[in-house]
Amino acid sequence: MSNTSRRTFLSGVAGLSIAGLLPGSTGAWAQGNLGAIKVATWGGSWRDSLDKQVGEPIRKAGGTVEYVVDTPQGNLAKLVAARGRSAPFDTMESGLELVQLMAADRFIQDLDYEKLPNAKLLPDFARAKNYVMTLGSMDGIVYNHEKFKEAGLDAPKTYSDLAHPKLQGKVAFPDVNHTQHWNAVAGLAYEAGASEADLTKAIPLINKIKPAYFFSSSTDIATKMSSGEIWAAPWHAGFVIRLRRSNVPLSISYPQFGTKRGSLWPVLHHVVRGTENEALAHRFLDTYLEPQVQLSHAKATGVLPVNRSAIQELGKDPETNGVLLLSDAELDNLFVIDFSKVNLAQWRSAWDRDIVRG
Amino acid sequence: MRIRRAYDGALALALAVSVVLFIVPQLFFVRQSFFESLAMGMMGDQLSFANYATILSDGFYIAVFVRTIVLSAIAALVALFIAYPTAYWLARLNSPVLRWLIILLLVSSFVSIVVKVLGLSMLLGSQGPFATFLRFVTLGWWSGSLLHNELAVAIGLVQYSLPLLIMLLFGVVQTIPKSLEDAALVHGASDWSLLRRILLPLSLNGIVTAGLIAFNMNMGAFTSAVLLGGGNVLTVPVVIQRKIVLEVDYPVASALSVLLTTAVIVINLLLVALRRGGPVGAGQGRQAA
Amino acid sequence: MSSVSLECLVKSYGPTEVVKGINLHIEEGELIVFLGPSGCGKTTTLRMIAGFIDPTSGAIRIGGEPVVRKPPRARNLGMVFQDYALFPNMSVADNVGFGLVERGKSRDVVHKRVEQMLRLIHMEALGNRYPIELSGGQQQRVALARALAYEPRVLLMDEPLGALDQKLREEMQREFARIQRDVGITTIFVTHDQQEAMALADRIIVMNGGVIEQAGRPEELYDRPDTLFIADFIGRSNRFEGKVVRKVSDLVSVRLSGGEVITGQSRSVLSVGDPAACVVRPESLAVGATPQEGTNAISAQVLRRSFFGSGINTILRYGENLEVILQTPKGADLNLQEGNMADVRFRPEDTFCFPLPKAGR
Repeated sequence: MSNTSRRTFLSGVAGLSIAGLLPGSTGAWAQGNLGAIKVATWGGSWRDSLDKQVGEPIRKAGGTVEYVVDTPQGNLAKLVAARGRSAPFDTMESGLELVQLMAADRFIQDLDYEKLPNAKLLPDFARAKNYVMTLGSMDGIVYNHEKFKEAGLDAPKTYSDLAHPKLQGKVAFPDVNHTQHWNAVAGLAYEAGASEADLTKAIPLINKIKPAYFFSSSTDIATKMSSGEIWAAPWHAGFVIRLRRSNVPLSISYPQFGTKRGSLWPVLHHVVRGTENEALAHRFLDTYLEPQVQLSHAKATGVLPVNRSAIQELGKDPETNGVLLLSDAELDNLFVIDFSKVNLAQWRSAWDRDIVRG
Repeated sequence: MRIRRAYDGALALALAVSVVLFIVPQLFFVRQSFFESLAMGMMGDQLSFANYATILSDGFYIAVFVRTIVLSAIAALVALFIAYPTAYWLARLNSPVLRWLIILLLVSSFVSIVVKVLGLSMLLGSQGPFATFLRFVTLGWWSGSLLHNELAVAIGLVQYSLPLLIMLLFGVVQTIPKSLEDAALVHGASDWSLLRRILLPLSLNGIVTAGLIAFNMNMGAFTSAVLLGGGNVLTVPVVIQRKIVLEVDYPVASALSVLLTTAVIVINLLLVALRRGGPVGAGQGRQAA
Repeated sequence: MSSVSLECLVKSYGPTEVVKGINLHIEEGELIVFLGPSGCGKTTTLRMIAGFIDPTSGAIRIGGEPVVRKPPRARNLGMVFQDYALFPNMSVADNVGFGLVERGKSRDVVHKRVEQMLRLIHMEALGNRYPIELSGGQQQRVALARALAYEPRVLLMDEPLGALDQKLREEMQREFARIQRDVGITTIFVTHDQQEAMALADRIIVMNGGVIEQAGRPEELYDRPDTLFIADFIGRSNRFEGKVVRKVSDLVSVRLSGGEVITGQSRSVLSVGDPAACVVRPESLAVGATPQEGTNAISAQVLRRSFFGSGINTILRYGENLEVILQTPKGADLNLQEGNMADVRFRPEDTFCFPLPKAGR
């Protein structure tokens, strides 16, 4: 996943040299005045939990944390718009579809693992040069099992099952700027006999599903799922757990991706190049990686921690029962998209042009 | 020459709104639109018309433009049809309630579009009253939602521009003395004749101006298209936003917005020219004499 | 051309009665002027006849036909408005032809009739002009032509000359009188200007507080006012107040504040001891040294004299602060010095006495 080009390597060197200048000043900061950072992340219950689990301890230690709320795409656009000026935030959550772009364009800096002691507890694949994988969402088909039962429908087994005539007008689909878009279209590409290398094969299947609408924000689809306006959508397990707390009768099913079953979407965390508070940015990230924080945040939001012991703890939580795939065998069999195979420009163009709308 | 001048002034107002809404924020986009995109907000250093050629030779973009213009025009027309009788009624309402109605209208025009759109999406959604009614009268045969299509977007556009249009046309109707209506009626005019021969000709300049303002607002409307269209209605502003946020392609986004501005200005000027050459209206007689 | 009858016509807005039961018959071809101060109900009455306002109760008949609740267009009336109300989007000719077009007349008929009307108002050459290009007087003539073009049963005029200056106004009054006589149409004219009413009316209907105070020919109103209001409102008059000291048939004697007793005619109910006001027209006053038997006389101080073209006004002061106006023809030398006292005399036949509301009411 981390494609170390010559450019990023050079930028890493530059980053190190700047970091080398900093410790003197960092040491001068008294406890209780850690300064301020802004964190770019998703909104809604995700931000609330993140602030409770990570923001709160930082504040107690004397730092200030603010949030810039948008999709990773939207936040990247803000970075681009601020090019040449001071960065609009200090750390940022993102996903696989963006990491290469951002690294290549030097929007993010290499991480200083000396300042991230908690990262040692993570498996190797979670530690990259310029990001840490903090968590992962488990993507599948979220559906209202009561509505399905009333309509005499079985639980969906494949994404293509959403094309059932009885579901006409009741299915929403993540739009191209939504995080859960990618595993959904990859799943449909697999069901069409292709893979993430040729996502366009998914188009006819999406047109067959003919979603009622394409959602750009989880808050929006959460409202429509709760009201019963929408019965099913490719989404992630976290919202099954979160909305069940408000008694919304949701379940999730995990379609096959070839031999794999269910899909994982890694949540990545970067430190933004040009941050004026690199120390606090790292401290925020390290706090994020504390096993207890990982577990609490994962429990609150219904996502998968990276730390295996945290995963085992999470399995004891009754809320996860039947919603998350947590056994070793299941975890090892999760599909993770290989984004280096995705032709992004071609896919975006096809998405705008070839999807039948309205 | 008073009416003529008032008319020109009103047109200048429409133009001024266009300038503020479209041109000013885009001046630097114009420059960007002539450079090649090198991804991630970077641009080449060669001036070219390549972005325009790409857009204008692509049926997808053409369809987006046509959709935006048709949707904006229909929404503006519908808004006029609703706003004019309302404005007329208000202007002729001889009651202390009037002041409160005007205040209500003002307040409602200040309500954030996001809030208005949210209200509409509840109203039009499958759990809303309209869908429930349709489900009931079709005995459950129809079970959809009125949201996430061009109709919903058009309704959103109408809803957003309505208070402004009513206030504009309220002013227009107020300038028509009530005695002209009395005169028409006492001299034998039917209500329809009064509307056709007196009220409409005397309001026409105001109606055209108000319609253009609504149209211009609709052309630039983003929130309604995104939230009520639910990704199903791709209008020019939506595509521009996607170009910027998803693909970080400033040059093509800039070229799109320059073309949007151009389309708006051309349509405005065309209508103005049409009005000047038109056969009816208070101003026309002045030129004939 | 039709007669108009108003029968017990009442209009109230909520608890406020604006028109309080009017009865009036207007003959065919008659020119009636509704005269009164603003708020007297004259315009409301006119608008009820036109059909813009529904009466609260009572009936309106035009040519014997009841018209209440009929829309204005079904009443076949012509109307001229204070602000002319010409259609600014139409030429003069189109304005004049408006009522004909609305009545479905053919192009030819409309054209011929419009030409005829323009000739009547001496504006043959201006048919293609637009209202905004015309003077106030021209606009008013067009409004009149528009109202007459389709030969309505009755012509209504709502203070039509109010917006014109004095000179133009008098010119238009003559012009209008000419046209009205030519056409011979029943006309109801509303004004608050008593000179205009005097100049035009066959009959003046003076309204006050929603009722008709007096109806009659202009000279009747001037010479024999029925009420104090009429005497005050129509023409100028001098007013002397006092208490009734004697009453013999319809002659009353009133003692003024200065002690003088004057005698005048009264058709009202007055008893000895009642407060009363006696009015005398300025031209009925005279000054003279020798008293005559049976003539009223008061002593007043000469304040100033003013010349007004056809005559001279002399202002005198009677008592503490009552100004008395005396009008004499030019050339009559009264030999009065400002500051001097003069004996003012007037005949009981020219003196009209009315009851005053009792003090304390």
